[in-house]
Amino acid sequence: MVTYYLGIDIGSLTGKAVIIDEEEKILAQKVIYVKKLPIETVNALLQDVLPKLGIDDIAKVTHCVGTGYGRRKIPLANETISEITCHGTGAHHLLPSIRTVIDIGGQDCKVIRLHENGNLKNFIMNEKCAAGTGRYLEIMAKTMNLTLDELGTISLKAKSPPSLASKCSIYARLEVSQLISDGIKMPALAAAINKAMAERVINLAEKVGLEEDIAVSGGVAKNIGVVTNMERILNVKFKQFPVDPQIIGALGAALIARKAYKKKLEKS
Amino acid sequence: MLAAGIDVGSGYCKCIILKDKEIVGKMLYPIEGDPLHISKKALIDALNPLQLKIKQVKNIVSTGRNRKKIPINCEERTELICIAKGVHQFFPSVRTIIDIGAITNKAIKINDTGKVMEYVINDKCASGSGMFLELVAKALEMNISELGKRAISSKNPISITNQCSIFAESEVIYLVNEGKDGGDIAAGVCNSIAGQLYSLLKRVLLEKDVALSGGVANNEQIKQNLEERLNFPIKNFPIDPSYIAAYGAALIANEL
Repeated sequence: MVTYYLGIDIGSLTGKAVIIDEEEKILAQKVIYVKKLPIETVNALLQDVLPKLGIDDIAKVTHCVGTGYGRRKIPLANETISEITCHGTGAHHLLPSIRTVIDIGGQDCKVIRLHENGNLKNFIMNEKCAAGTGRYLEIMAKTMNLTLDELGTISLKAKSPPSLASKCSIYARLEVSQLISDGIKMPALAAAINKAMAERVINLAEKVGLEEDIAVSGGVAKNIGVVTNMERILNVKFKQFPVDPQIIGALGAALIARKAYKKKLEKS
Repeated sequence: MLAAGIDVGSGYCKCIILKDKEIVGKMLYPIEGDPLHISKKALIDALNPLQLKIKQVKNIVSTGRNRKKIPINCEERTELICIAKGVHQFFPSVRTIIDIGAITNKAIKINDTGKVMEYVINDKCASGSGMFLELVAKALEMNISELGKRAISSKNPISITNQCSIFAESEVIYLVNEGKDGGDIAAGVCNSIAGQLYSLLKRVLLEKDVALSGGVANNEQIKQNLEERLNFPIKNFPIDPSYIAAYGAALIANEL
């Protein structure tokens, strides 16, 4: 019998699905923006990944683990596991030398410390304030009339970025509008925003401590400006995931699904 | 004698014209982008129905976060002083004021002469501010006054768990998508704001009477919820509470 292990990660901004086989090889993956309701996001993800494997029936999925902010609204999940565990598992699987995962999602930021064997050592999370999360960058990009990608790339052209006084996203939005009308150039502003974002994340990370190797996951990992600033502040080079950094949680969920299924078989 | 007060905040520009201490003109404009010209326009448009020009106004006082960015010859005063002046003129018995601005909330203690004795400002986070209410109103597809009306008629307010304005906005969108009643969500939002105002108030030594100023004070649900927490009534201004700081500035201009 062919086995398919499915991991679904429903975040606040995006939904991710990963399917792996018995050899822990990724067979299919997908990242989409969330729909109005979590169930709609799950269905859209399934409609994308299942045909890629040539299967039409969800019943053919051997075991499924749900994770993320919307994990309790995934009806087909055999079990739900916290994002912290899933990110740790996914990161350790891809890069066993990783001791710290910084996951910057749409609406939160997590810093996860791992033991050598990949088990969770400690973690810290900001889910109270939009500053230091993907939402902050989204709001700033919108204020500057840029895409999220552009916010990262144009910042590299900046020579001497100003410092932003505000932390709160609402305050920063007003400050950035003011700086635009004061004539500050877009690359310098983008660099200032990425730097502020990086400082905020590192502040959080330092509360739980950072140990090398370090890798960044989540959508913000794709913003070269933020990542470079974090590396500069810490004076370290981060490890790169060999896959899309947004699927680490879903991959972890799929890996946990496989393990859980094995355990179940052993018991019966 | 004519005097004017202009309050150039982060969200709105408010202007009051006094003739011998009586309010004869007022104007309120949202600040979209540049506070520079909107403040002058507010003053011109407040004077226009009276067939008066700026040069006929003897003294002008500006206040608010953007008070330095106006192209009019005038004196400047802080918001704290102007709010205290405006409130004291209406209610000499008030000792504690909560002012809800577009992005900044303040708790101000004043004495029996209207002098500022102590204050606490939340100027780090927009939680519980006017902008918070505006973001949520947009998510609910209601205007601010509609939100207030829907909230007051709700029987089952839904509690809002996020303090951050941005996260509260997402939470509201989620509740709307789940099919929850807009009025119940609105009431929950108002109660959350009242709770945040109450926490700010507790940071100063609370003394009666209490007044609530700033545009958000027009929201009856917030006011009632705060009164329930305080266990005594809050003073009602005879004018739109959005204008209190501008009114105070105009009173100061009148005395210059």
